[in-house]
Amino acid sequence: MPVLLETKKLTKHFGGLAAIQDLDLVVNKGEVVSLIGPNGAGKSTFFSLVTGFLHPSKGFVMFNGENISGLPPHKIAKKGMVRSFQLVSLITKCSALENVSLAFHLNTGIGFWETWLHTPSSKKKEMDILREAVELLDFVGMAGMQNELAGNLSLGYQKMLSIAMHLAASPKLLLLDEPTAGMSARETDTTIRQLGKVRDRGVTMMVVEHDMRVVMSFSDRIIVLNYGHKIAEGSPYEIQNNKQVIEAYLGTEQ
Amino acid sequence: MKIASLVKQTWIPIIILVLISLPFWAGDYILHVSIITFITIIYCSTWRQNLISGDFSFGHNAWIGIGAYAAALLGLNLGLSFWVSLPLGGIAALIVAVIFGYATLRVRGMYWSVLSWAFGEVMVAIYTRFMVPFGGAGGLSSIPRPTVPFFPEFVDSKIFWYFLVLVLMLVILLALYALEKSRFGRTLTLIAENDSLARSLGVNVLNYKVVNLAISSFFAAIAGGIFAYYVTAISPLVFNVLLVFLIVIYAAVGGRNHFMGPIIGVTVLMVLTQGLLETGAIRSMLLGGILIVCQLFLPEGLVSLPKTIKGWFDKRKSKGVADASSA
Amino acid sequence: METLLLQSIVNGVTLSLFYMLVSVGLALLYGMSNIVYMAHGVTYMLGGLLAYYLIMEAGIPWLLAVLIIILIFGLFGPLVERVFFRRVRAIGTSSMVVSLGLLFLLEGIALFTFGLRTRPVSSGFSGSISVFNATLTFERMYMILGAGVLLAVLQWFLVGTKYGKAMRATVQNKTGALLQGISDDRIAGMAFCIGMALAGAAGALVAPLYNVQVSMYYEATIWPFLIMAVGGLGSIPGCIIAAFIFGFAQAFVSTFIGPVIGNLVLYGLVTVFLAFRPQGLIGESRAF
Repeated sequence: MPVLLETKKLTKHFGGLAAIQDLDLVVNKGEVVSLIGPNGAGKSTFFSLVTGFLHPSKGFVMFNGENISGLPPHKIAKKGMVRSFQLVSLITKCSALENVSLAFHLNTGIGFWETWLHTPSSKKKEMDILREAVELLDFVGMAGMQNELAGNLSLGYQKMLSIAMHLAASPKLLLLDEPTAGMSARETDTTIRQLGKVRDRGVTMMVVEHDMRVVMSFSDRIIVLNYGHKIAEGSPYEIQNNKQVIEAYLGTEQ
Repeated sequence: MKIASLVKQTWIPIIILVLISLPFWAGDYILHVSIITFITIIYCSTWRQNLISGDFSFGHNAWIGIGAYAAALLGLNLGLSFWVSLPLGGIAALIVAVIFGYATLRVRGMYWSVLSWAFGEVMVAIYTRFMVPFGGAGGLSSIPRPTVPFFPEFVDSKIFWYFLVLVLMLVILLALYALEKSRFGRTLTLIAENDSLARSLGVNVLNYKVVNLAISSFFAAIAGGIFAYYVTAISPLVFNVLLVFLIVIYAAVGGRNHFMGPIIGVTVLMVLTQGLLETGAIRSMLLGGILIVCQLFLPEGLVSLPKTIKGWFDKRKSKGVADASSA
Repeated sequence: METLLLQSIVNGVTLSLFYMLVSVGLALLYGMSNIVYMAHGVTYMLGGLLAYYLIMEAGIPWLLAVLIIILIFGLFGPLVERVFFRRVRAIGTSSMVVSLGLLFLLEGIALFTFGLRTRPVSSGFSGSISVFNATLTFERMYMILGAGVLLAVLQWFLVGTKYGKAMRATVQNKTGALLQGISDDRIAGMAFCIGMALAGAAGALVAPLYNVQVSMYYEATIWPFLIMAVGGLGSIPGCIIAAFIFGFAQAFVSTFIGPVIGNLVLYGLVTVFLAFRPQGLIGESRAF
């Protein structure tokens, strides 16, 4: 399997503290990789580092064979690595359909002047985009909610909408930061089923998760961080029985 | 309700017809007030344009001043025609705005607001300090009248200026409205609401903000240029931060979050403070008082009045039902 | 040359202290209650106008008038907070815009009562002493002394008293202070009390130096904001350092180059500085 994302000796210092230390990590095309670890292990920092929201202190990040260390977030997003946020990011005063349409819009090549002057050709392209947006909302199970204001949706649907927006960017690698945080068991199941459909569409995913049920059932591979280091890596079964991992989460037995 | 939708569709053409007919029945004084109102609406709407991308500018006076001074100087010193000087003044402001934008728009929120304030004051200080070419504290006067073919004296009548400014205002407002509704405008809204989300979707936030600033500064400068030629004399203090304060008041009273906000705010407040332009004291008190009352009781501005009134009625209706059913 | 230098130093000290008096209140309000208060320049101006009335029309001695003004403005502060800004917090509107309204309202009232005239205010102190070839008027000495005393009192309050410590704690850690049982409203009220008292006092102290007029609010509105930004929005130590820098810079440039160029240079430097370091000298770096 071709390698999509690779980090070598990735390090990030904040003042005197190393949030991420010498991290070597690989994500292959088509995989679902979960990134787990106790609070403060550096998982969100890792996402910020590889997507350009933070600059590495040392080491580098390769995406699709290209060195992307130090590029700004919007450039990295355009290359196909897209990241979602823990706190839901949407335009709250727009409808679900408008949110997704905008995300599509940002990825198509309709020119600035075309849209300002509202030319007929741009109008046609807008209709195409609307259709795609409706399809995408359907795909993520939000068929009836197109005109709901994003701010009025329940948390589960907000997160789904956020994922839909990021899918509209046609990502090669989707980084999901705690997609089921704050959800009930039922919402979690729905979300995981949806994400399964996303994976079947061919989107590689890396997920930061705390819900172990999700991690164990959904991942192809699991990487465990603690204090900014990778302490374990392997299949769900291997990780479940890894002593170091258990210690990291529960503390050493006394 | 059929009446409501009928009103919605036709009120703009009706208002435009009324405006066009104004010179035929209104006197010079009303025309003058209208001209100043239209120019101020352009100032205010262009200022609001920056707000859409989340940038609260205290330096909007800079673009207006550059437009005014540049257009005036091109006419005075180089003898260029008004019709050439005006857009050149706009371009001058645009160039400065782009440089300023790239240099500063990485800075966020309140920090950028103070920064823009300082920059606006830099421009005023430049006009005041340099006798040549800006005329120093005394400013520029005898700005030449525009030339029009066939009827050169037409320029001396208020009607010429009225129609000129009216057309300009309508064109600019249309352009700003189209911009706001376009993908560009919606992306600006996204940037204002959620900067990180925009970046993670591939948006080059700095570029968007600079382009937005360029457009708003260009139109504001054109309005400044027209102002200079209309009043034929300008001085630095006209373009200091008090101008921005007034713009903010108009926009806040009208409604900062709505396209019609600045238009309504400027119109209502201009009409209310009519005749008070001379006695600055009462005008200031009125503007200040109205702003405070509006902000505290109608924070979304006058544009939200219909919604608020409807809300009162709805509450009364449901209260009535509740009282009736519990009786 | 020496005299010019010494004169500049005296001017620098005076200006710095006054900038500090007006800016600290602003920094307190922003740092503690997140209130952007646009009307402090008007407060300063009203202090000057009130000083005129008290001294020139009611015959009260200058320094006593200053004390009276401190008292009046200090009492008015919490009132202003109660009437206007409590609701601002409750409904979440912009304190900046509301205080802008206050600026216009108060300026209008001042114009209405005082008009466009400019009036001198006499301090009642004449005479001067010579220090190293420079003349230092008694008037000026009392001004510097007065400002210094006020700032020292402020310092004592912030460091030595329970309320002062609480206020400083709020700047660092809002939630922690709330948990201590000090309410938002109390803190905002105190910030207004201190801020307005200091600004009014500054206006009254400085009155004999310049002619009192309504338009003096303008410079007093913009400079403290720039000072606060350069120091770091909401940081009091930053504010004080920045006030020193501004005071001395203005004094020296005015004396040696000229007042108008002085403004131009200062505004320009501030713009450039803020573009590269928007969080100021001592600021949180979430400015970018």
